[in-house]
Amino acid sequence: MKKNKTTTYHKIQCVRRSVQTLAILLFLAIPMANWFGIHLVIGTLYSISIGDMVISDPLMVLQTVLLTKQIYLPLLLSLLIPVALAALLGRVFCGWICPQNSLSEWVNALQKKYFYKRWRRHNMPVVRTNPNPLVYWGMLLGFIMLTSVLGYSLFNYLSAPGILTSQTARLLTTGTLGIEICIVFLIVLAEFILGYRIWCKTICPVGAMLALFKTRSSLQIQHDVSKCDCKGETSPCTVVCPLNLSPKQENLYPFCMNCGLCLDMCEKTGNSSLSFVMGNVNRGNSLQGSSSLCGSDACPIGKE
Amino acid sequence: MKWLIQLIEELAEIRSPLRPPGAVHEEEFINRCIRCNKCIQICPYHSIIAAPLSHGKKVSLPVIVPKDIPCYVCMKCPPVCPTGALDNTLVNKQNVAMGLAVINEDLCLPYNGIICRACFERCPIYREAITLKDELYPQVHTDKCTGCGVCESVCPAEETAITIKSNHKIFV
Repeated sequence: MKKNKTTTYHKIQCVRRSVQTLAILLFLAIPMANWFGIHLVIGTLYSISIGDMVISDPLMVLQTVLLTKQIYLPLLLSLLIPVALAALLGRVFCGWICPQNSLSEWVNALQKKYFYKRWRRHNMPVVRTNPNPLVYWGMLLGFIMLTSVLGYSLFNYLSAPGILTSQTARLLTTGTLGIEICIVFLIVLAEFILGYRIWCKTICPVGAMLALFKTRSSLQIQHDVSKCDCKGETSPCTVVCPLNLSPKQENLYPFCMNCGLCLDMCEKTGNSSLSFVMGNVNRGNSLQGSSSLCGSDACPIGKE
Repeated sequence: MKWLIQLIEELAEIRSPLRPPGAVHEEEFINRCIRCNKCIQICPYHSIIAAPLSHGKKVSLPVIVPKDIPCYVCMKCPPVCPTGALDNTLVNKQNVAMGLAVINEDLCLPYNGIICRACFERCPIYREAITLKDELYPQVHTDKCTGCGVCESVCPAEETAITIKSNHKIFV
């Protein structure tokens, strides 16, 4: 089979890195601009206003509705943009904007560089199946019930992007930090010790809430079995996935955050069996081949 | 004994903190506020701060500490609140009811024979919330006072003679 090397998904990766960096710079710039009296953009990732346009985290809207048992119309209107984005492109907020994800990806890259053995032990597992989505939904349901029972704004302490951005603003303007920042430290520490992204993968209610809005025609990853050469139990796409998911298997969603790293890797192997599509895809079990590794140039396992 | 009274006063202050103008009833405010920081960020005087850890479960909610920086009732924060924790429709500073200024006549300079018009001159609801009885003694009008705390911050008395009591009652 002739292997055509394309760079489409690599370019998407470059765009993603830029967007992530820009998002971090933006949340450093907003508090500074506010301090000096420029109020064009105000807020944090709990809720942000750009001019007159208000964008709120769906989880925070849910919290307010749960606690007050009332529906406040301006708050509902602020849901429009995040819900439309999640319905159209899936959990792109997580993969492209969320500073917690950027931070965790960065920590993971550091781990790969300086603790390679440790990284290898946790990031090259044999992934035959993706986790059961019920775990994810169960967590969200549990948190919702806990919030209603306690009657306390629990989601404020479970929204890592909100905590990160609000605490950055607080640090830059007043020089103090709130207790919430400990939660981010705990997440990073847990992910470093456990070696996998436990928060983003199984717990984070912000991501779970966004995953709720995914429809059958949202942007998703399609796997073309006929083009796939990597028949091994561990594939390059799984190794490169920040959440250690297998794009070839069932139950990729709701976990996948459409970051596109697996597509970039698949493109590098020359197979291009993975692609982004808008619409329904059939995701079958395709690991029927031998257990040999693919051995391609770009394959991170093949060179070991 | 004095330290005990001080401690109780401090606790009372924490349990009924001064919220930004337009804040709904304290119980509902705690439920509505999502700590999005917008009111803190838009405040041009940096009066609103995130509550420190001593506020217990109300940590990180927006508060005003008039001793440090009072609220100048510029009315920029109520419209930006996304959840209605601050009443978005509030535009007139006359309608704000955050708290109430209380004069301690034992400490207040005019009541002790020294001429002082600091709170009267600086009150944002000028000549309405604080008036001078006999052109000398400041008096707070409870129906007009917004509780912004400008008077508390400008009081020159050694121990602040005019203090703000939050309208958010401890015992509902």
